[in-house]
Amino acid sequence: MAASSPALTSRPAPVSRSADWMVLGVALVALLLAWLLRQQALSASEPVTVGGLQMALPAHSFPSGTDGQFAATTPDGLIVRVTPLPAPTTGGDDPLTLATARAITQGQALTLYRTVTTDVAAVGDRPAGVLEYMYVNADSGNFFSSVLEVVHGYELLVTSGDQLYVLTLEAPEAQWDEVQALWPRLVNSLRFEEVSQ
Amino acid sequence: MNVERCARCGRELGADRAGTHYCDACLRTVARAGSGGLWRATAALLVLLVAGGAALAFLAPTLTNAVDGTVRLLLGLVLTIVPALLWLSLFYAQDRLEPEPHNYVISVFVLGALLGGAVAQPLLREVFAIQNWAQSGTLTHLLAAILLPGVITATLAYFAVRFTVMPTSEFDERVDGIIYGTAAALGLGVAANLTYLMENGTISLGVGALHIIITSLAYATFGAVLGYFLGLIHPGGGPGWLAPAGVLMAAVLHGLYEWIEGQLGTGGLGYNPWPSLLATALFAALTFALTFYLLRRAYQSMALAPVERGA
Repeated sequence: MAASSPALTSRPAPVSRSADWMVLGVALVALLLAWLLRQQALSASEPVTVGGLQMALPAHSFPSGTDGQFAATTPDGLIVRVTPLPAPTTGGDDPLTLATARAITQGQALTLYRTVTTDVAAVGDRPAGVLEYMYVNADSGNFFSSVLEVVHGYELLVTSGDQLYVLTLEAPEAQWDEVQALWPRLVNSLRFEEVSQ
Repeated sequence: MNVERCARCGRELGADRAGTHYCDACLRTVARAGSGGLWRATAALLVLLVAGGAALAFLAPTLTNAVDGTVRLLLGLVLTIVPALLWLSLFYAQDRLEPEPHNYVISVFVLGALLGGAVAQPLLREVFAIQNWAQSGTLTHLLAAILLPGVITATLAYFAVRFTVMPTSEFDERVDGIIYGTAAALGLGVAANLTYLMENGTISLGVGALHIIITSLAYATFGAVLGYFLGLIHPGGGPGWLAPAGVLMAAVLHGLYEWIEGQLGTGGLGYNPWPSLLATALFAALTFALTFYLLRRAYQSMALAPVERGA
């Protein structure tokens, strides 16, 4: 009866330390499970096809493309775009030429655009150019921000027939670690559909 | 030889009350007083908050153009603090036997806010970045809401009370657990609302205002549930496993609330806060009703039960 009796029939007994340890244990187990849940949620993917290009996006990405351009926002807020463009008539086979031409175009279109690195990769047996770049987001609507919003991202440029596909992955600078983590998965998932050849 | 006196009226305790805090009369007074006034006060506060939120949401389209961002930010700050203080006052008023020192209640509230700002929100928003992945699926959303905001909030509220007022002589009634648990949870809720305000820079008069009111309401509910368990453990002398049970119960309720709010609020392209507001109000009403019922039953049995000899 004493264990379930109401408050004031006796002086309060001190709370045992074991109760605190049990609460701490519950919290640690919950945090561990939450971390596993997070990893599972962030690593899940879903297939997407844009033109003849297939890739695996993080599951539950939110599509937002316009004007024939595919765009999606991943659950952690990264922007993925696939922009089909006409393949250049000359130099289309050279990935570094593709990357340089793209950097010049973007430099004219975006504020304070800078190329950080230029590299070469492969999609299947096709050579591809890779750009790491940064620019200032001049369209940011956050007027309360005390600093400029710097966008940091990667672009991969690969031709297929008469199409040049530009795969973009970018996010605000604060999410650069997430961009770096997703980029290899994204590139490794790229495939060209046979029918589009 | 020490004379033992009633902690409420100061009369000398008879031999049959030795080892206890209160005389028969005071215990009967409290039990007889019941919770009628408390029920009405809680219901009135619930209605007031829901009506206030509803009025803001209803008037939002008209007022939005007339009120600039600074005023909306100030309104957001007011809405962050005022409902929390109203809830705190309500629970404080329920402590009929022996009102808690104001500074204790306020200190636990402030400690909850500090823990929320220094531990809970950074853990949720920076370490786990829950905003980036938790809504990627129905089950994921529910589990994440229970395991992260639910458990973190309840655990911090538990420790905020456990290592401050719980070891003191002031923590000597079951309702004290509810008062201090609610105070800590409301502090954590204020931190959550301030984070929401800082991330958005300001609030919309409709959705933002309702979100803040709903959050305050919900945190008060979880705090009351956790606090009930705290009262069972310390003054009630219940077993230690009631502590993690209370944390888990509050965490599950918190998770369910966040999940339901997400499910009900996201219809179509926009966010509709009305179903969330009504569901939260109903949820809070049911939880408070159950908590008050259990408290009332405890007090009545306390007043009528045969007196046990104190330790």
